[in-house]
Formats: sequence, C-alpha cells, structure tokens
Amino acid sequence: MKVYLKNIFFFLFILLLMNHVIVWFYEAPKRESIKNNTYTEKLKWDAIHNSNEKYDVIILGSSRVYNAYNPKVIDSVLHVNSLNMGTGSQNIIESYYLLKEIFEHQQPKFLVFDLFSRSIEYGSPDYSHILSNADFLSTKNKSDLIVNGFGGDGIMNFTFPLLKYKTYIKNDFTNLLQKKVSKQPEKKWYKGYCEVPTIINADVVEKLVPTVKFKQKEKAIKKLDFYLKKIRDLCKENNTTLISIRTPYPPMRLEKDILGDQQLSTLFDSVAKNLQVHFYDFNYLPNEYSNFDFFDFHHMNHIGAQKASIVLSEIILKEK
Amino acid sequence: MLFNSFDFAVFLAVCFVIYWFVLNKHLKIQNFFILVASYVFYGWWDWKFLGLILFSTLVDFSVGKFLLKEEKKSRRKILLTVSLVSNIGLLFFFKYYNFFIESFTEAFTFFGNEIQPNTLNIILPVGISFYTFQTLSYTIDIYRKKLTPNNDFISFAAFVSFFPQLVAGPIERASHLLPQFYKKRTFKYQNAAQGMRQILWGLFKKIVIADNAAEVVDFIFNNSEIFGGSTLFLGGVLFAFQIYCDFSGYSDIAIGTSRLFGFHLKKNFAFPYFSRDMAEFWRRWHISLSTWFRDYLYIPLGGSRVSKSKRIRNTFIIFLVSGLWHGSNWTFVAWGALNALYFLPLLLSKKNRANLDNVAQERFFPSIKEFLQMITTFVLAVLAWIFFRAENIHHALNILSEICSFSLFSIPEVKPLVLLSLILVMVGIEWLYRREDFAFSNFQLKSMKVFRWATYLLILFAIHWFGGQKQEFIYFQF
Repeated sequence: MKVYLKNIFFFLFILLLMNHVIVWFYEAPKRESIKNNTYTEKLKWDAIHNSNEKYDVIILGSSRVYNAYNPKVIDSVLHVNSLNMGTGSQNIIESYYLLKEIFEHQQPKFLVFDLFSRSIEYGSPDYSHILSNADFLSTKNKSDLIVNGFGGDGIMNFTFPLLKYKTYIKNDFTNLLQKKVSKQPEKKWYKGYCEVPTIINADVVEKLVPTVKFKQKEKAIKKLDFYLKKIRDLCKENNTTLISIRTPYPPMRLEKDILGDQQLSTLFDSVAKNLQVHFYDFNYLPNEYSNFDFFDFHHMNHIGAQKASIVLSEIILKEK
Repeated sequence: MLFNSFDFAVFLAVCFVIYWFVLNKHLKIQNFFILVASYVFYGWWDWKFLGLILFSTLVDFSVGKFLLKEEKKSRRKILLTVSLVSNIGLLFFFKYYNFFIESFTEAFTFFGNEIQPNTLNIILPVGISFYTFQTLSYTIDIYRKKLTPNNDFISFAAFVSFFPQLVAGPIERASHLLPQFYKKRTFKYQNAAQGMRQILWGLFKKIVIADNAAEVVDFIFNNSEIFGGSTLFLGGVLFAFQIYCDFSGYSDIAIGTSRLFGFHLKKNFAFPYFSRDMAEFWRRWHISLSTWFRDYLYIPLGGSRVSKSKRIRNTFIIFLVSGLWHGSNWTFVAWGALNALYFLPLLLSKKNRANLDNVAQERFFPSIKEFLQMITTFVLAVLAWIFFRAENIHHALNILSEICSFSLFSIPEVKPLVLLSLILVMVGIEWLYRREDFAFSNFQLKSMKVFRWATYLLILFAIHWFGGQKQEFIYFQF
C-alpha cells in the first residue's frame, strides 16, 4: 500500500516537473516580451497599477473590445482619460476579479462592460489568457480568480500549466501537419486599444456564419445574471457608473439569423434591465456598420473602431 | 461529478485514502462508506433524484426478502410483478412518457384527428436506465432461485448505487457483484496498478479521442446539408470512434476505479471494431447490456431454439428494445431495427457463432479475408450509427442518400488530420492488446519500469496536449 502511494506521488511529481519545464520553454517568447515591455497584458496592468495615472473611463471585455474602442477618440470627444482593458478571450468570471483588482488602484467614473455570448458560455474559458492576466494581479485576487472563480478547472490549469496551452499546441500541430504558416495582422497598440488596419476579404464575408448561439442557454444566462450583478454591486460600492454594451458584429452575420440575434440581444437587455444596468447593443443602434469595418469574423479594424468609439463616447456623454 | 473532472480526482483520492487507511479493518463500515460516497457522487448532479435510487433499493430489497420466504408460485409472481412494475414504471415515466404521448399525438394527427398533446416537463435522472436494470436482475434472479438474498441492507444499497458504475454501467449482475460486498477486501498492489492503468487508458480514449471527435462530428452533423457524401461518411466514421471511446472509456474508468477499491466488474467492451461480422460485434459491444437482454428477454422468449418465424420475431424484439433503451427517439428504434437486419442473416444461416475467437489469434497481422471482414463490419456499424446520431429519421435518410451519391468519392471538405492520426494510434495500441482485457493490461509484467513510466507520461501528455473541450459522457443521457 505504502509503495503504491509512494509510486503515485513520485509519478505525479515527475509529471508536474515536466509540465513546468516544458512550459518554461514554451513561454520563453512571453518572458522576453515582458522583459522588453512589449507584452500587452503587462502594459495594461502597469497602467492600472500606476498611481500617477487616473482613469475616468475603463472599458472591460474580450479582444472584441480591445479592437473596437480607441481611447484616443474617446479622450478627445469627452476630454477624459480612458483605458481599454479588453484582454484576449476574457470570461465574465475573469472580468469580475479583474475589476476587483482595478478598483484597488483606480476610481473610474464609468465602467463600460461588453456582454459577449462566448464569455458567458459554459466550458469555453481560455485559461492561457486567464492565468496570464492573473500573473499581474495581487496574490489575493489571483488566488480568488483561480480558486473561487474557476474552481477545480482553474486549479488544474494552474498546477499543470501545459493544460492551458492545449488548444494552441493542437493548432501548432495541425499547422505543422498541413504546413500552414499563420499570418498575424499588422497591429499598433494605444492605451490598451489594438489598431488593425486590415480589411476583411469579400470571399470571407460570404462565408460568415450567424452570431454565436448558446449551447447551454439557461446556464449561460444564469451565469450572466450572477456575475453582472456582482459587477454592478462592485461598481456601486466604488461610485462608478456601469454601462453594459454589445460590440458590433459584421452585418452579414446578423443577416444570416437576424431573429436569433435579436433574441440574444433581447435576452441581454432583459438581464441588464432586471439588474437596473443600462444596456446598449451597438448592432441595433441607428449607426450603420459595414462588413468591411472588420478585419475578421468579429473583430473591428481601424475604420470600424473609429465609428464604434464615437458611438461609445456619445453613450457615455448621455449617461453623464 | 464527471470522471474527467478535478472534482472527481479529489473525491477519488479522498475516498481511496479513507477506505484503505481508516476503514480497512471493518467490512461493514467500508460498505457503509461506499454507500455514502456513492450517494454524494450521485447527489453532486442532483440530490433530488437520490430518492428514486433509495425507492428502487427499498422495493427490490423487500421484494427479495419476501421472495425468499414465499413458496407459492402465484404469490411469487405477484412479488416479481411489484418489482417489475415499480422499476419499469419509473423508467417509463421519466424516459418514455413524453415520447409515447407525442408519438400517439402524431399518429392521431396523421389520421386526421387533431388532439392536444399532454406532455410534461420531465428531467431524465442520470443513470436511471442502468441502476434499474441492475436491481431488476436481482429480483428476477431471486425469483428464478438463482440467487439467495441476504439480510444486509447496507451491502445491497451499496451494490445498487456503487459509484464507479452507477451512472453508465457496466450493468452488473447481483450474482457477480453483490457477493463481493460480503467478503473482506484486501489491498493488492497489482490490482490497484491495473486499475490506474485502465483509468488512464479510459481517460485517453474519452478526453483525446471522444471529446475531439465530438467537436468535428457536431460540426458535420449540424451542417449536414452543406456537405457532400465523403464528409458525411467521415462524420459517421468519427462518430463511431466518438461513441466507442466515450462509452468504453467510461467503462474502463469505472472498472479501473472499482479495482482501486478491491472490486472486480465485468468487461463491457472487447475491442468491437475488430469484429469480423455483426454477431461478433454484438458479443463485443456493451456486453453487460447485450447479455442482460439475452438472459432476461431473449431466452425467456425462446431464444433461437424456436421456429424460424419466432427466431425472427425474437431478434427484432431484442434489437428494437435495445434501441429504445438508449432513448425515446425513433432514430434509436431505427438503429435497433437496422442491427436486427444485419444480425438476422447470420442467425438464420447459423453463422452467428462463426467467429468466437480473437481476430488473428495466432498472428500479428490479420489475413486479407479477416481484414476485409473487419472493414465490412465497421462500415455496416457506421451506417447504423448515422441513425443513432441523427436528429431524426429524415435527417439520417438525407445523410445516407448523400453518402450513396457520387459525392462519396470527392475529397472531404473537413480534414481533421490530427484527430485521425490520434485515432490511428489508439486503434494500433488496442490491436496490440486485443487478446487482453484492455489496452495496457498486464503492462507491468511485460516491460521495464522506466519504459512503463515513460509510456504513462506520454499518455498523460497526450491528454494534456490533445484533449478536446470537456464534454459529458454520451451514455449519461440514456
């Protein structure tokens, strides 16, 4: 019995060790980028932690957010200091814990929060992004995010860090088999906003699919309700006005299932209304977006971002 | 609590330590602990349904006790009926009530009589089809005087709810599993090591193959109208591997977990895709269910020792019921009927027991004939799986008609190369171990420690790297 347990523990130790060694090599470019001050998450968190900088408007959400709202436009329209805190594949649970960290260092007047179906869908968290953000949080917030926020899966991904890269490793492997080289679009960063001057190809527009539908709708809406309430309460405690939004999609995606998309929008609206949070779905505001305001199936390019940032500024102005 | 979750890993570790280190000297307390652990495990999904398990347990335990005392045939029959009605009644209500109401409504509407369906919002309790069949076998065996009931209620309740196999089998017979609860269990290194290996292999099949295949299969089946025959056939092939790896993976984890606690469960899969005909396939696929139907339905109906017409009837009954057992959908019935059609020619020509040994028993590679037989059996199974996976009969027929067109010979639009490579690796490993209980069985006796550990690490890294998005086990819904 003792030999058995000893073997199990020794085996787990080797597994753990190998995990960390492999990840150490896999994360070499990331470490280099952090060292050179070019790692975007670090730059964003440096901005939050910098006590000399006070932000009036903070925008929270996924990559759809950091591609859509340009603080340069918002600052010049509203004469404020804004920061885009959108991070890759940001999950709503993650948003809540990130916000806790933000409020420990900043007192923004407005918090703009993007409601995105994927960020509330069950079984879709991207732990490589979540744990990457967690690295820049205080120890308490970090452990809260991992343990209370994501429970067993969070602990597993933290303890065995190779797990969080599995999608990436799988993609690398597929690309290797298909001899594909993935092209990264040209990017420029400003106060958390990522400017991409690429325009989506007309052929790709034709093949666009409807906006994401929920796999487990009831669970997802429960999760949205639960965390949006927590975010609202946190904002109340800090005297911050919470504005919830839904970032635009290429019109072609809406057209493919307009009823489905409107239902989703109404659902978000009713959850927000119940919690007395103002909600603006950019897809159904009078402003028009073109398919060519995007550089892929759901990220805006510099043209779209210009439009969306002006609309957001108008909303903030209205909320003032 | 899913087998492939962190919660279960912690639960298993805690139970294992308490079971062997704290309670190892008291058999009754160990059994009580298994009962509590099993109820916690089940309650993790929905504690409200624990009442159903308890109800089945109480009914069958009481019926068993009364059957022991009762000698009068008519009264014994009444007692058996009580058990059958309460168990099958619950199963019917939770699983089939809405299906039959809807089907009757559709039938009436078809003949011009509009009626309002009176369906209910019923949630199917996880594992009900499995534990119902397990408790039924207990009362039927006592009724047939093949089993003597015991007064130990805790052991019986632990047998009904034994957590490793509670929600998706293998469906154990009381005569095999129950006596194991009465005997003192001692920790055996080899047994526990075998258990861990089986769990590891089960996790590989579930997380690496089934979960990855699920994503591609869902994509192909949900968009079947835009794909040609070759892609749809590929979807069918991938589903065949998804369901095999999902269910046999679950069974491996269940059997492996039981070994850790000193129990031995029966084999549920015996490398079914290496079968040379459909009869062999059915001896190797979901063995615990097939043998249950054989012993409690097929043989009482007369089995194959009856007239030709009755043999045909019996075969159809067993396959249709087996289809319906999987769920309340006509697609499952069609799947059962198709399998009956595959099986009948073998039965009628008395070739259903032609392949009782393992393929390539004395050789490494199969002969060309065996290879072609395996491919044919696999293709037949895939065509039947299309009914199993499709949304409805119409959907399945559309897919099959596209597969039967010239587009079958086009290059598939979906090319899951990594997944196909992983399936090839899995099939290769299972081929090497086709004469054993499971892949990597007795690995300990055959290889050096360094090589063994390197292999385990490799499997774990494959699970790490290539694991798909976490999905529930398919058979939980049955």
